[in-house]
Amino acid sequence: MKCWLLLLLLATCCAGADQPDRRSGYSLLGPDLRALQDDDFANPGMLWVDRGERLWNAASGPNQQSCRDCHGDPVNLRDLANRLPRFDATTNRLDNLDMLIRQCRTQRQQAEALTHESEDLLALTTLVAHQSRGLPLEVVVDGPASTAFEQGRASFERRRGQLDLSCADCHEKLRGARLRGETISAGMVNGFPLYRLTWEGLGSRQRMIRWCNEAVRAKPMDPESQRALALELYLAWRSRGLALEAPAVRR
Amino acid sequence: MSLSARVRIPTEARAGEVIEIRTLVSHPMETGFRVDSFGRRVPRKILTRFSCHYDGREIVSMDLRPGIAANPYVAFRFVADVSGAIELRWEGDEGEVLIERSHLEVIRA
Amino acid sequence: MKRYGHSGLPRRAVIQGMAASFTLSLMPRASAGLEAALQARFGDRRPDTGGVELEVSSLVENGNSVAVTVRADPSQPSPSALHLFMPRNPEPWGTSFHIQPPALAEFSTRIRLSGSQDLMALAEWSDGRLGATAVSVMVTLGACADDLYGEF
Ligand code: HEC
Ligand code: HEC
Repeated sequence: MKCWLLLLLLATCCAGADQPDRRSGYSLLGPDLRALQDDDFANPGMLWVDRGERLWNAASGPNQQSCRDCHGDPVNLRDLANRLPRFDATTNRLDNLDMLIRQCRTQRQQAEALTHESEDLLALTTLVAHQSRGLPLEVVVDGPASTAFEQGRASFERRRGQLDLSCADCHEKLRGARLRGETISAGMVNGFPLYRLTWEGLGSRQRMIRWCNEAVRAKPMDPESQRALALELYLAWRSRGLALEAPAVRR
Repeated sequence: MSLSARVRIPTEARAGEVIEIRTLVSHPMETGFRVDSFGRRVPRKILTRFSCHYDGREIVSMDLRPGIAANPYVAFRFVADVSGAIELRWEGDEGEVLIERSHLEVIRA
Repeated sequence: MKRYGHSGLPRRAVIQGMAASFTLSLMPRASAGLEAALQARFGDRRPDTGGVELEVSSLVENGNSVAVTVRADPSQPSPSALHLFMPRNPEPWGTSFHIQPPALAEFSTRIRLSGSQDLMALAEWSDGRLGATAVSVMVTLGACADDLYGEF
């Protein structure tokens, strides 16, 4: 962690431009990792897609229903993940994919709840997000969503943690700078859920937010809080137009 | 994540054709060298062996060590000579075993 | 860019007029760990150069997962095993791949590298003969035994 700090200070002097740049993190990958993401067999994220398929077909709850019994093929949920988070005017709150699946699981399937970031939930979110691969990210940020959107933007720009850095400091001002072997990207979310070699596993957008928060030694956010979802909404809006890549591969 | 495999095995080949088997299996390959945030060593948990039987013959076996990346990927090739069962097998240091079976039909020209 | 080690090191060996035996001291970053690992597996047998190819990127973005392919020189009789060593890892012995016909003497996998180092691939024939090659790999982000990334 001390190394981060030091290198960050070094990196500051070579900070890049801060005009908006919506380039997928894929563009920063070398040929080997691009090939890994593009290889639908060897992409390790596909292990979660497989597991998601098994769960999709597994009967559960008092009525022994599977996701398939009600939804049919997972492809029926195409064009969903790319539009999330989304504001629900009836409940007056934002939902992301994890929450929609968790709600459906407990309320409609009436099966035991899936815990946040559990491998089962990740498998289902990856399966569903994978259906929208190639579709452009497109979230609604006006109307009733506008307050949350502005909160998300403010959160992105607010300095935080012992390093006193905002998301924008790194992903806009320091974009392109090297940080202990990493190149700081524009902080796009079109790849999620994605396989990070650093994690040796799959993670959601909220896990990435937690990771970045910890990197600057900031207090973690509750991943299901409206605050965290507002930030996710802003991130999705920043990534608008980029093709969804789930499951992407990143360093 | 529980042990499960993705495998790509052709089901048909011409006699003498070189075919490839690709495998990917979910396993953390915890090295035993890593230290957690409390300074405690994370105990080793790895797959130790991978093998392939083709028509009853063990044609390939592989010792897996901590230097193999998490979610191990292994690909290899062989000459299809007879029709027969293909059995891929992974063994872990906790006694776990995962087996994937399929059949290769060899067509004589 | 892929780097192919046929006789990548051997080139140096040839210059020094010692093409026959693969000398560990020719590996600029060989380690005591590697010597011990080789001793444990092969006793006093030492490899000649060549007979095996190692295909790996010369520049690696993250040492947690590095694609490698090891294959025997197809012009020679098939070895009974291929071995891969990562001298600078906490455990230098990476893997051993045992071959029976009709399998080809070739495998691909993904490995961990805890830092820049010279990977070493070995072919072992049933008569006990060994052949080796080495390839230097630069790693920008090492596989972590440290706390920097592990727990995020
Ligand atoms: C200290 C600099 C730093 C700060 C501050 C920071 N990040 Fe990051 N972030 C990184 C690094 C390094 C990575 C990994 C390399 C990359 O993809 O940019 C990363 C990756 C990401 C990614 C994944 C990009 C991709 O292509 O998959 C997202 C999304 C992200 N950060 C969002 C945020 C958010 C939201 C915040 C504020 C809560 C934040 N970051 C704060 C350094 C930072
Ligand atoms: C008893 C039937 C039933 C079962 C079982 C069920 N769902 Fe649903 N699900 C529904 C209905 C009905 C909706 C609401 C559809 C709508 O709003 O278009 C829904 C909505 C959803 C949505 C939000 C879709 C959207 O466009 O807003 C997701 C995601 C979802 N379900 C995932 C799952 C998953 C994953 C499972 C299995 C773990 C599952 N569902 C099991 C009936 C079910």
